Amino acid sequence: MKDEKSSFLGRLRGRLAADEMFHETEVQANRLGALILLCSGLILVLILILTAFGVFLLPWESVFSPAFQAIVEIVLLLAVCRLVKNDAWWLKPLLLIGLIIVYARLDGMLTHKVAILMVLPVVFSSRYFSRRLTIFTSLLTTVVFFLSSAWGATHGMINLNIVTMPAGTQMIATGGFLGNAVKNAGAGDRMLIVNTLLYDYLPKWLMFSVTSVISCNIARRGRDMVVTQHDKDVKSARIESELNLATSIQADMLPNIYPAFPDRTEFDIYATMDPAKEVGGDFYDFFLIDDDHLCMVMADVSGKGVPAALFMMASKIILANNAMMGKSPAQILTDANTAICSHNREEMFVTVWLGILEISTGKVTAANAGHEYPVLRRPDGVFELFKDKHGFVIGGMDGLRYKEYELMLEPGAKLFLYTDGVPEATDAQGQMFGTENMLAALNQNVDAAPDQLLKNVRAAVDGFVKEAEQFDDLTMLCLQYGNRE
Amino acid sequence: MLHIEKTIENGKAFLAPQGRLDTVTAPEMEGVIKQILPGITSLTLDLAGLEYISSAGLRVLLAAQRPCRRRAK
Repeated sequence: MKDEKSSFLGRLRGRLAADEMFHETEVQANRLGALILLCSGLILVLILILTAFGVFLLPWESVFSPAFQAIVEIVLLLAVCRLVKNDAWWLKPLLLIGLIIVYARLDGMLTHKVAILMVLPVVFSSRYFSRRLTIFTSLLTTVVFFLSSAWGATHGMINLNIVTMPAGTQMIATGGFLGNAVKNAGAGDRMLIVNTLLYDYLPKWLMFSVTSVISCNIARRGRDMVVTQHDKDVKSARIESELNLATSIQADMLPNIYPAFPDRTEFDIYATMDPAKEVGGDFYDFFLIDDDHLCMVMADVSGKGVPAALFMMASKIILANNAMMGKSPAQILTDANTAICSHNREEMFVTVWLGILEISTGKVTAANAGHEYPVLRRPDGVFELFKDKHGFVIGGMDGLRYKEYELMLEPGAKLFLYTDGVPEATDAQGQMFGTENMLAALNQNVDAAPDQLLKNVRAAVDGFVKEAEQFDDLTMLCLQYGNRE
Repeated sequence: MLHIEKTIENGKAFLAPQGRLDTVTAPEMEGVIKQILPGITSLTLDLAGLEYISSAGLRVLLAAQRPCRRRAK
């Protein structure tokens, strides 16, 4: 074979091999086919046993040979299935043809008795969800059973009324079955065959054709379902990979290179954000407005997931732009609020704490728009909530004016900012972590560097929440003012 | 779950939601407010009966005050 594609086998394989999305269906159907063969074989064995014991009144000589052949065929087919583990492109036609032949043998043997066998292969074929296959099976069944019925007219079991005799005919049975007497009554093989095909095969075929129509319908519907499901799976996979990409984009938006300002020894800053879903609505930001002013932001967008993430990106940029213009915190929040309210049909909002540190003096000017209280540790003191005045959330109401306040940081002082994901972290019983536990985690080691402090709080939250699912984004920032070691 | 006490007298509406105002119950609150808004001149909300309010609930309240502010101008 020079080229597999152009060879006969190759072309046949090309026609028969299912699309990738139907491969699983085909293997499952093959498995069903093997099961059908197994059941049929067991029933055949049972029939033979019952016939041998005289329970079924069947002529042993004409029953044994076809039944035995059918059983052998079944065993061979089952062995082949087992060998390829129901997974080979040629198994589908092999099973269908094999099944038709096995049942045709039985039809030749029991002819008049077996109407149902004719429909079994075509009903089974619908499991492959291929209308073409079902039609092929119907045609093959039609032809093969035509032949087996013709054979069964003279070798199988016939309807005793298959030929009409003149009134008054007497028949003498020489022993055995009445059917044999009818066959030998002189009607002739041709008449037996024609009458069997007309009065036995044809009615059966008519009923069979209805089943064939039903099976075609099932095949088509099944196929549509598999295709729809496949499309859904593809879409799902695409969305998931897009979300993963969005997660990276969002993570990159937040300053995450440490040490953040290696050449500035007057302060140390560290921050982390852990989203609950792939993308989240919490964010922090810090940047130098000029040589002597560091801006810090801690914010929490209403909601979670993609909508919050989109709103978060817009808010972060608006706040940063306003801050870089050199405005005061109150002015920054006021102007950002106006900008955000003008594009906010979905009524999203964001809580913000924004502070500007004058690096040379340690003076922090800050404004709070509905955000959590910051935490302050004065040198030689402990971490405590700093209960600043709250303005309303940003994006909630248009035209609001925000107010700011000042606080002094002495060298060695630490400022800790967070979102409600920390105090509201919930365990399996619905208990919340709380600000007390958060302060305790910070005060565990008041002299730790900012990154270690964040790790301590994170560890405390994890220890509290244990196996419960992370419900909200976890975002924290710590600033240490004064010379770094 | 949410239960809303509603009283309307002379175009003045008093709403007192009881229970939880979260993502699940917020649409119900939104529906009630939308329904009564056209025919009233004043809307008072008593939230003392709420045991829990989420950002979804807050959004419903914020959405309610917007048409009110516009009408007040």
